[in-house]
Amino acid sequence: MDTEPTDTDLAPLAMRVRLAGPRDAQVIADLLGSTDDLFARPELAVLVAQGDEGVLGVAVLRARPPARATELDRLVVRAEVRGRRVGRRLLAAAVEWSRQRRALQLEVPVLAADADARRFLKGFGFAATSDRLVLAA
Amino acid sequence: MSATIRAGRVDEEEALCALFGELDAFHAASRPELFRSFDGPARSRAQIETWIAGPDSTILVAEAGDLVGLSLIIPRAASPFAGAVPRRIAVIDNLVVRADWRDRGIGEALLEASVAWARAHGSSHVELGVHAVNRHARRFYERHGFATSVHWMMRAI
Repeated sequence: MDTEPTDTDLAPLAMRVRLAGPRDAQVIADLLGSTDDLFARPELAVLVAQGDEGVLGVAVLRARPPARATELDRLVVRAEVRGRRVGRRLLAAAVEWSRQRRALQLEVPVLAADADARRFLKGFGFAATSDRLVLAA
Repeated sequence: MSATIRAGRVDEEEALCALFGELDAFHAASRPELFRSFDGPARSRAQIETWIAGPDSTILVAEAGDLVGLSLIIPRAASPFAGAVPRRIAVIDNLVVRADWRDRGIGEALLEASVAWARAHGSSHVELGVHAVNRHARRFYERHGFATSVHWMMRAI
């Protein structure tokens, strides 16, 4: 996940989080830097934080039914509204979406170098569960 | 090192399941929120056959009279993300040495053979997951050149 969790003095923005649809595809592609067709993949759910003047951030969730866990694949907040609680709202919505899916856990992969994201998640009640280690063969 | 590393065979199903079962028991004891014990063989015969037959998967075993360790290697599906650098990734999904045979270099021999197998089968990278509680395993892999790429965080719902 890539978000900017720093707390600032900026006021929280008015927004609501909703499920995204195909009409949001372009703004989501811009935020994620990817042209993958997320809406063609039934295991994914895409949430967007909708502000007065457009989409402020996006969260991509993946259901993993056998494990009764959901996974927060991506969480991206527009650069110009970082620090204004958009990430928090999306994360809270991700927890709620998982709860409705009767998941027992929500899991988030964080790049090893992304200490900010790790801190942000810790503040939200997340704890280290496992690491993926890699070796160039 | 007093064990031979070789490919496992389907007719060793029972010994393989005993080793998988030992690892499963460790996971169930250390991560009860994720794993539980279950009845029946640790892995089905069909599953073991598939792993052994697969072009990009295998089970390597350490033999010292009995089977005293195994390493299961499976492929990881390529990322569907267009921005991901294409990599061919082999995953060491399970690596276990029987408790009474530890600290004799058998895990190391299995790991080295697994990396060599992955390389010989065209993998660019080898990946594996380590539970946060398993500090011993993490140190073992780090000693052998592995580094954290992704840190998974979890919250109960």
